[in-house]
Formats: sequence, structure tokens, C-alpha cells
Amino acid sequence: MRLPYFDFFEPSTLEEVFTIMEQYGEQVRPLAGGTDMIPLIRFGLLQPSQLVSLKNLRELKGIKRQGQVLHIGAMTTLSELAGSPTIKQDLPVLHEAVLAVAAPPIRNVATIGGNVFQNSRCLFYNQSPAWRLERQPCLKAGGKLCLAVPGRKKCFSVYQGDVAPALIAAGAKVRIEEKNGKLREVPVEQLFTGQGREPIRVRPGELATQFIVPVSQNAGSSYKKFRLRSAVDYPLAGAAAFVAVKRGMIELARLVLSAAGPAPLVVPLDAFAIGVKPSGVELDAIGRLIPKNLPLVNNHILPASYRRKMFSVFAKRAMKNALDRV
Amino acid sequence: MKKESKRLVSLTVNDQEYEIATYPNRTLLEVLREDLSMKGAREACDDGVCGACTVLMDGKPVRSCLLLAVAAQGRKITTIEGLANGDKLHPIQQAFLDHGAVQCGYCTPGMVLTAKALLDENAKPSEGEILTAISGNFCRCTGYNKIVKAISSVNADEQGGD
Repeated sequence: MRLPYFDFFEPSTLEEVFTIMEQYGEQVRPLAGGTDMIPLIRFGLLQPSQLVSLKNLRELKGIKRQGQVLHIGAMTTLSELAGSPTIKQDLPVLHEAVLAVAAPPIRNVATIGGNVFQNSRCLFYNQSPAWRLERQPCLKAGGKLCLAVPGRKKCFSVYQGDVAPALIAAGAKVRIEEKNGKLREVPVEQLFTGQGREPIRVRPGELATQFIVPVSQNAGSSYKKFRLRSAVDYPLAGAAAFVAVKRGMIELARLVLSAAGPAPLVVPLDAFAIGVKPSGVELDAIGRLIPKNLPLVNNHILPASYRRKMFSVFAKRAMKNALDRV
Repeated sequence: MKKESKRLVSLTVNDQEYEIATYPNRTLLEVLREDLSMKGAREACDDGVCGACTVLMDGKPVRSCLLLAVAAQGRKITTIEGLANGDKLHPIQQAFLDHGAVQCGYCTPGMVLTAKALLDENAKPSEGEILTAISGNFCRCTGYNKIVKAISSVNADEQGGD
């Protein structure tokens, strides 16, 4: 199926990107690897008049370590991340999350920025125009009502990124830049709106340029992903776990779920793990900390009831792995 | 009416340079098949899932259905047409024939190119490494066994590589 026409820009400096974004406003979309955006454009779910490619922006590529902090350019490919010895050794949660994405040929092109900024998904939304023509447009596609839960005025699409939960578990921030060198750094979880219709948002004219990830000593982390096929599939449930230990006691514990709703879900673990020895964590109890009312409905290839059960299984596996690695 | 304009795109495919005037919304797959008449890369799912459109970009397998032709400028593209030397098949192609790793053939170009990228980096991959490498290439006929056998049979010395 053909892509509709769009103008295409290939600037080589950030200032040029911002100038183009200012000129075209909401019509222009930044294009990273394209592995999420091209299918959406092909299906008519995104209709940008202009694409501004970020591929010539060298400053957005690569992994730099400064002391106990990693700076990862937003245009760094997932294959580069997967091949980074530093990430493999010091941030296993990110290493495992990246390797869980799609398959090697996708990861050779897909970027960390594009992966984090991917759209939420739903069986009633991610469909061809021919499929959607038979029905009224769903809420996310500009219609008035949700098709997954007929009659509802709420979007139940699911954010299925593997990388964002891992970044959040590791305590990462994202640097967002705009014209004239203005920038802000916010925790990755703050990118998410919690709304399925528009799950992730930055202000007009802003661009995420890098991720800043602390590397902790005496920490362990892991990402576990539930899916039907062992490659290509998006997560039906994902769990990123991170623990840091000081003087033999857990001082920091994070659990972040993927595919649990329109945004990565941070599960509070304070009472459960803080001040406890890693060997004293009661893993079987972790399932009870996961909210019972996750906004899951039957809009993916497995029923919501089953996906809900899998969160405690995969959260437990990820946490066990993280604790073993401390 | 919005003006739609073509642009000149220069592509390096199988070590040959091509200059094509094309629209920015065309994929590398469309340009390879329609403008350059290289029909080896196939369109199947058109959604980045199946791997039938695989080509190598700077030696690494990528989905040509998800890649804009304009975005492939300045990169080295290898398609299945670039593997055989005249009538002499590339050793990986020969191995696929010898092991009966081809049935309907639709996935084969993508499979062979993915195998080439793997073997160029790792002359003696384990079965697990082969399975990981081809995990993004779907075959609905062979059950993968013969493909894995074919790839592991390729002798590193005769591959010749590039």
C-alpha cells in the first residue's frame, strides 16, 4: 500500500529542525527510524504534511558515559544499545528491554527516541483503511466512541513500549530541547499523559534529544516480557525491575509495567522492599501490589483477564532476576 | 492543490550508483522493484513484521518496506541480485538449494541476506545465534529446520564475503 504524499526535510542541525517545526506547526512530524511511524502513516492513522528526518543530526547519536551517568542520544539505534558493553553490564534492564524489541532488522533502524515515543496500540485502531472503512472511526482515530468497549467515551489503547519502562525503572530523565538552546530535563514517566488518545506529549516545537540514565553501584535490574512469539511481538505484559542496595539493605526498589494501560505503570514498592535484605524479599507478595483495576479490555490478541494475571508472574520473574544481580 | 514534487535520490545498490527522480513518500522497496526492476525484495505484510522485503544496508539487514528511499541515500544497499557472481551462486544460495531450504521461495531472498549479514560477522554461528538472527524473517513453508541447517553448513572459507 502506498504512502500518501508528504514533504521531506533532512536538516543537519537542531536549529534547522526547530525552524522547520516552527514553520509547519502541527503538520510536521519528526521522523527517527520510522519503524513505528511509517506503518501508521501507511494506514492513514497519521497524516503529516511534512516529515523532518533526524537522521543527519550527529549530536543525537551515540552513547556517552560521564562518571556515573549515561547520555544516550535519542537517535541511537536499538542495535547499538544492544551491543553496548556498558549497558549490558551496568544497566541489564535496558539491555534486556532493547533486545526484547521486535527483531534484529527492526532494531538496526529503530531508535531509542522513536521507541519511547511510539503510539499506543489497539486491535480496533491499528488496522488498514479497508478494515476501518467498515466501521465508524474509533475514538483514537477521531471518532466519537470506543469500538473496543462499545459506547465508552474513553480510549483503551495500550502503550506497548519495552524501553520506556526500563528507562523509568532505572530512574532516567529525558532532555527536551527547543529553539534558541532552551532545554528542560524531566523524568521519563512525565512524558506520558495517561490518555490513550494521545499517550505521550511534548509541547509544540519541542524535541526529545537524549536520555540521561544514572548508573548505580550495588544495583540489580531486569526486564521480562510476555508475548506469544519470541520475536517481533509487542509485549502483552512487561515488567522492569530495579533494586539498589546500601549496607546490605534495599534502599531503592522500582517496578514498572508495560502494556498495563496507556502509560508505563509505576508500582509503588516502598513498604514491600525498602530496608529489607535482598534475600528477605517476599517475591510471592509482589502480585498483590499490582493494582487490580488496570484499565485493560479485550483489545489485544489475548483477553484482558489473562494479561492481568500475567503481570504478577512477569513482575515476580523480573524482580527475582534483579535481586539475584545485586 | 498541494504541489507534489520529485527529488533526485542517489542510491548505491549492489555497488552500482543510481540516480532516480522520485517522490519522498516512496519506500526503498518500491524504488528497488519498480524503478530499478530488482524484484528480489518482496512485498508481503507491508507492516515491518514478516521480513520478506529484507535488504542489507551497510551490511545489516533492514526492512525496505519501512525505509524511505530518500533515507537510504549515502548508504550501501545490497539486494539478493547482488549476491551471485554471474551464473555461480553465492555459497549461501547454494547451501539453501543443497539443503532444500526453499519451498515457495517468497521469504528466501530475505532469509539469504539475513544469513549473509550473520555469517559476515560470525563465521561459525551456533544454532541459537542463527535462530536469533532469522527471528525477524518469517517462513510459512519449511518449518525453519532446513534453513538453519543450510546456514550452518556454509563454510566460512568459501563465503568470500565483502
